[in-house]
Amino acid sequence: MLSVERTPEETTWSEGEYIPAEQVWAAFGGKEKAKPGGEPKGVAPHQPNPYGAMAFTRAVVQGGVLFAAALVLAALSAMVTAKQPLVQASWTVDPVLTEQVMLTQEFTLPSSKRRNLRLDVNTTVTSGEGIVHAALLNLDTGDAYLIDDQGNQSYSGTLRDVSAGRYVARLELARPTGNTAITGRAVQLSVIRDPGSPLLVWIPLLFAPTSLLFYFLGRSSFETKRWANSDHAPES
Amino acid sequence: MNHLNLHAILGVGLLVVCGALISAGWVPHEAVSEQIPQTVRDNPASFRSSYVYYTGWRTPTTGSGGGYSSGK
Repeated sequence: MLSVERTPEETTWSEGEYIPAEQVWAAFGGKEKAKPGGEPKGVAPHQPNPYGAMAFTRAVVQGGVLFAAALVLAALSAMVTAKQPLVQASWTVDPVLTEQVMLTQEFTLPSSKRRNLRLDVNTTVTSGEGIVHAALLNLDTGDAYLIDDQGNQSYSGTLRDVSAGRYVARLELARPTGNTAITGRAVQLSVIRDPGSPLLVWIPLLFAPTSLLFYFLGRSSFETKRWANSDHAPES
Repeated sequence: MNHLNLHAILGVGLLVVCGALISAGWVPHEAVSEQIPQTVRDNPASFRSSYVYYTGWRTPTTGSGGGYSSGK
């Protein structure tokens, strides 16, 4: 750092280099009584930003390693989940019925450890023509599971740890009364056992590259502290 | 380099938590449930949900307050 001090009588130029407290202490003999303790307070005007080239390399490597680990997790997830189709069905929509009920054939969910299900409902019926509600009925226990369509025409819903037994999936196409006839519309349904959760794969994958964001935040935060300690802090 | 340390801790934590949930077979539960009587079990087509949002036509461009116009 180059600085200048002026009085009417003289002008003094100084050149300074930032040296960590430990280095200064060691240069003066390293006496135990004089050992500096604790973290430095504030940021000196010429203190090097610790988020330099080395930190950037670390951020890139750290993000890459975490991304690779997340890919391994995704591969493991694909291996441990069964993704077993239990039933698949499709129906043609009746042109005029205001309420059409569609039932799949009976299928069995075995009493295995993993009794999670996913229902995928796909339809070409538009939102102005009608909406498809889906339910899963356990014929042995009497449990009925109603799937949340989340306001979509085609949707998926997962069910966690449902009862084993014989099931029927029931779809219901509800249409407004007085609506005009529709043709060429279809509804499809599939039920998958042990589908796994894509969310658990995507969260680590998307988080890994944010190491660069953390790097830039750290760098920016250090410079903000430096200017906050300056006599010439920029006005915000 | 506290920010990068925080990222490392969060990243490893997410891997551990997500890995544990994957190995346990966890999925979100996106449904409501109810009990149906024996008569409905014998004739699943006759199922009628007690949940109002499930039954009836729902208008696609509803304002506040629902938009459910007809039950069964």
